[in-house]
Amino acid sequence: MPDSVVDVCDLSKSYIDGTEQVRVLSNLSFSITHRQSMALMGPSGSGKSTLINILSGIEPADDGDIRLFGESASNQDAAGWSELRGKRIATVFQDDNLMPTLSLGDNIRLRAQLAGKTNVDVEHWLNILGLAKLGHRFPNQVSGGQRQRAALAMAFAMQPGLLLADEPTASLDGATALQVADVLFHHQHETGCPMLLSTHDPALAARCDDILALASLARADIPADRSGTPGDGSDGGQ
Amino acid sequence: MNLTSALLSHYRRHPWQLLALLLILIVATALWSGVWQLSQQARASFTSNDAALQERFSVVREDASPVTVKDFVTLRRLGFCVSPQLTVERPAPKGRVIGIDALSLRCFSDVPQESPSGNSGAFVDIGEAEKLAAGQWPTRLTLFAPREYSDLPSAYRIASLFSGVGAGQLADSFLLNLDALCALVLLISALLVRSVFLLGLAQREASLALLNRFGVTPGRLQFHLIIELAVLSAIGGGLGLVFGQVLANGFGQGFDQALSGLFGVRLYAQQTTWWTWLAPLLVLILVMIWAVADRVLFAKLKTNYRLLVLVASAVLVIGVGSSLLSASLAWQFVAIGLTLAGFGWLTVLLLPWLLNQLAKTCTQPLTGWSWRELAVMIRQLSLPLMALQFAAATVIAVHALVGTFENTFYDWLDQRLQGDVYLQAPPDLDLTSANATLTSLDSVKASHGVLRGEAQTSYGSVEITAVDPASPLLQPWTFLASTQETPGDVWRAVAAGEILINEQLARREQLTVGEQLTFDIGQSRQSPYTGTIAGIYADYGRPASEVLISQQLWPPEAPYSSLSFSIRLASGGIQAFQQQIEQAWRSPGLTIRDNSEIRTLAVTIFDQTFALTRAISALTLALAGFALLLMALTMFGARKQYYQKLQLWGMQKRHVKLWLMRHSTLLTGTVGVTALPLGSFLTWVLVARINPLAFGWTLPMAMFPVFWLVILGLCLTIGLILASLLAPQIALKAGRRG
Repeated sequence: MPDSVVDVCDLSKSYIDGTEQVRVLSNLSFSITHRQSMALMGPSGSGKSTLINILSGIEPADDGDIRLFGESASNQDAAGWSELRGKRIATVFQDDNLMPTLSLGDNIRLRAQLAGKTNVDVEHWLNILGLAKLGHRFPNQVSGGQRQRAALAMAFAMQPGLLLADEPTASLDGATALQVADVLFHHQHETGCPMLLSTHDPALAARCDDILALASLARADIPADRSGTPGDGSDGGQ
Repeated sequence: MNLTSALLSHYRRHPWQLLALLLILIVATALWSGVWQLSQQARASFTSNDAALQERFSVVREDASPVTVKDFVTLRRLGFCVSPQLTVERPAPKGRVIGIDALSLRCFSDVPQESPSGNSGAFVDIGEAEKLAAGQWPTRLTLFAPREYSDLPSAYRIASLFSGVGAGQLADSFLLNLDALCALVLLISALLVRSVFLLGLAQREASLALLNRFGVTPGRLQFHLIIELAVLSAIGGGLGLVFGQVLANGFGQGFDQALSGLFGVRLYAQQTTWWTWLAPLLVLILVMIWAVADRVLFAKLKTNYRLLVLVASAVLVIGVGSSLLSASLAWQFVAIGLTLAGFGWLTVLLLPWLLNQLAKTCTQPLTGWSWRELAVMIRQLSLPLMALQFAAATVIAVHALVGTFENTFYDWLDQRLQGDVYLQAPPDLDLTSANATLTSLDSVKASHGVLRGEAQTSYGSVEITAVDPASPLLQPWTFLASTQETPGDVWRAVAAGEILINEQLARREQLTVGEQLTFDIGQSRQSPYTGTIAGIYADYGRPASEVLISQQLWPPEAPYSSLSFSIRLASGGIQAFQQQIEQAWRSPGLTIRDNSEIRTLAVTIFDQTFALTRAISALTLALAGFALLLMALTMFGARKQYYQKLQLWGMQKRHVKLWLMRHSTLLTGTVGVTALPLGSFLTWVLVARINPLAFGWTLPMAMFPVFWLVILGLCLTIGLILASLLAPQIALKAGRRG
C-alpha cells in the first residue's frame, strides 16, 4: 500500500454565478497519508465542500492533478469514480445521509452490500456506534445524533480506504456533536483509515493530525465574451 | 407588491405548473364540452320531434280479446273519458280509413292532434267508417285514453301504444350515455386539477404561513386561492370551449348520421347563445373549486388509514351493490361513479401497504428500498394514478362494448340479410300472387316473402312478422333461447304453429321459451290465437316488441302494413332483376335495395355511433397519461436525491437508471393491471345492466385479452417515457458549493 492515500497537486476550481466568476480553489496542493486525519477549515465559500465533492468524483476539477491510492484519478471516468465511491471512499455529510424508507440496519446493510461486503455484521456496527436495539427504526424515528451515528456506521461498515466527512457534526447540538466526534475519532484511530474532515469547529479540527486552511478567494466579473473558464489567480493556494 | 402578486409569484418560479394546470383545463374542457354540445343539439332535435315521440295510451281487455263498441259504452257509462277509433283496411287497392268520434275527441282537448293515434289515413266519422267496411273489410277498434287510468274495471287495463320503450326513451338513454361520459371526463379532470393545485399549495405552504404571520387573515388567503383557481379555470376553460366547438364540428356529421340511422332524427345546428358558452364554463369553475375546496377551506386533517380503507371499501361495496340491484338507469351511472371512486381509492391505499409488507419480507436491502420507494411514489401520485386507472378502465370497457357489439351485431346482420336484394312489394299486392310472379322470373334463384303488421296482445300492441319457416334463407338464424335442440327444429316447430318472440318482448314481459302468448292480428278472427313460444331471437338496434309466426297463421283477410322479399338472384345482376319485376308488376320505381349496401349503411351508422365514444375515451387516456407525466416530473424533485445517493454510494449511473425505469414502469404497469378488473366490471355493467335498461336488449359479454395487452403496453410506455424524462434529474450533482 503506498504511503500517500491522497495526493492533490495544483488543483483549481471556479464557478460561474450569474455574470460573476467565482474562484473557490486555486493551485491547491496537499497529501494525506495512511492513518492521517486532516481537518479542512475555512470560511463559508472557501471551497471545503467543493474539495470533498471533487475528491469523491461528484464534480470535476478545472485544473490540477489528483492521485488516490497511488493512482491518478484526474482522468477517471464515471464508472471508475463509482467503483472508488462504492468500495474505497466513504462520504459522510452534514445531514441526509440515509435512505428514509429503510431502517437504520437496512441502511448499513445496503451501503455494505454496494461496497461488496455481503456478510456485514450490522448488529456489531450498531453496537459500536451506540445504536444497539435501534436497527429496526427508521431515520425519522430517531434523533439527529443517532442518524449521524448511523451514517458513520454505514461508512465504517464498508471498511473504506478513505473517509471524507463534510461537517458531520454541524447540524447537532454541542453534546451530541461531541459524542459523534468521539466515535469518529475513536474508530479512525483504531482502523487507521485516512480522513479528510471539513469543519468550522476549531476544537474538532484540533483533534486531527493536520489542518488544511482554505482562504476565501476573490470574485471577478466575467467579460461578455468569456464564460466558464477557470481563473488562474495565485492567491489563496496552500 | 400586493397580496395577489405575492401569491402569483409562485407561478413565476414554477411556470411549468401553471402550464400544466392550463393544459389540463383546456384539454378536459374541450373533450367534455364538445360532447356536451353535441348531446345538447341532439336533445333540442329530439324535443322538436316530440309530437312524433309522445306516448299515448289505449284501453285493452285483460283477456286479450279485441275491444268492441260495447266496451266503449261500458267505459263511458262508468265515467272514463275514452275515444274510439275504427281502422278499416281496404285490401285492394290497398288503403286505410280511420273512423273517429268527434264528440269524445274532447277527451284530448289538451293534446293538439288531429287524431289521438297520430296515424296517417283518411279520417271520417266512425259511423261512416263502419258502413264503408260493411262487414267485408278487416277493421280494428281502438279505445284511446288521454291518460294512464289507474282505476279501470278489472276486465280492462291501460296499454301504451308504444311497446315498452319508446323512441324518446331510447334517445334519452343514448344521450344519457354521452352525458355519463362527459361526467367521467369532468371527474378525471377534477382529479388532475386537484393533484396539480394541491402540489402548488404544498409548495406554497411556507409562503402562506409567512403571509399569515404578516397579518393576512386565513379567510383572505382562502378567498385569493379560490379566485386564483376560478380565474385559471375561466382562462383554461374558455380556450377549451373553443377547441370543444372544433371537436363538436368535427364529429357533428358522424353524429348526425348516427342519430338519423338510430332514431330517424336529424341533428340540426343549435343557435349559439351566451348561455351555450357560459353554462359549461360555470360548471367547470364550480367543479374545479369543489375539487380543491376541502384543502383550501379546511386545515389538512390527520387521516386515519384504517378509517380511509373502511370508507373506500364501503363506497366500492355500495357502488357494486347498486350496479347489481338497481333497475334505474340513472342509478347505474351513479353506481359506476361510486365503483370507480371506491376501487381507485382502495388501489392507492392498499398498494403502498402491500409494497411495504413486501419490503418487510425482503432480505436484500436494495430490493426493500425499491418496494418502499415505489410505495412512496404511489402515495404521492395517487390522484393522477387514479385518473389514469379510470381512463384505462373506460377505454377497456368502451372497446369491449364496441367489440362485442360489432361481433354480435354484424353476425346478426349477416343472418338477417340473407339473399342478394331486398324488395318492397307494392301496397296492393298479395303474397300468393307476388310469390308466383317471382318464381316465374329467370333472374330469381330463390325468394322469401315477409309480411309485417300489428298485433294486439295482453301486453299491448306489438309488431308481427310472418315468414315461411321452410325458407333456406332463415336456416342460418341463431336463437338466444329455444325449446328445440337445433335451429332447424325451431323452424319446424314454427311451421307446426309455435311462435317466436324478440328479446325486447321477452325482457319487457318476462316471457320465456315454452310459455304461451295470445295475440290477435286484426278483428276478422273469431278468437285470438295462442301459440307456444318456441324461441327468442336477438333483434338489435330498435326498441319494438315483435312476434314472429309462420305465414300459415296469417289470416288471408287480415291487414298487413308491408310485404317484402329477400331475393337470391340467379344471374344478370340487380338491374336485370329490377327491369323484369317492374315490368311483371307494371309498377315502376319499386324499392329494391342491395343487401350489401344495407349492411354497409348499418355498419357505418353503428361505427359513427361509437366513433365519438371511442375518441373521447382515448383522448381521456391521453390526458391522464400526460397529467401523470407532468405530476411525476414535479414530484420527482423531492425523490431524486435517493437515486443520487445510490450513485454516491457507488452504484453505476446506468444501474440507477435501470432502477428508476423499473419503478416508473411498475408504477404505470400496476395501474394498467388494476384497470383490467375495473374495466371488465365496467364492461359487464354496460352490457348486462345498462344496455337492457336503456335499449331493451343485451349482448353476450366478450373479453378482449389482446386489447388488455395493448392497454398494458400503453401504460408501460407511459412508464418508459416517464423514466426517460426523469433520468436527467438523477445525475449526481454537487449539493453544496463553497
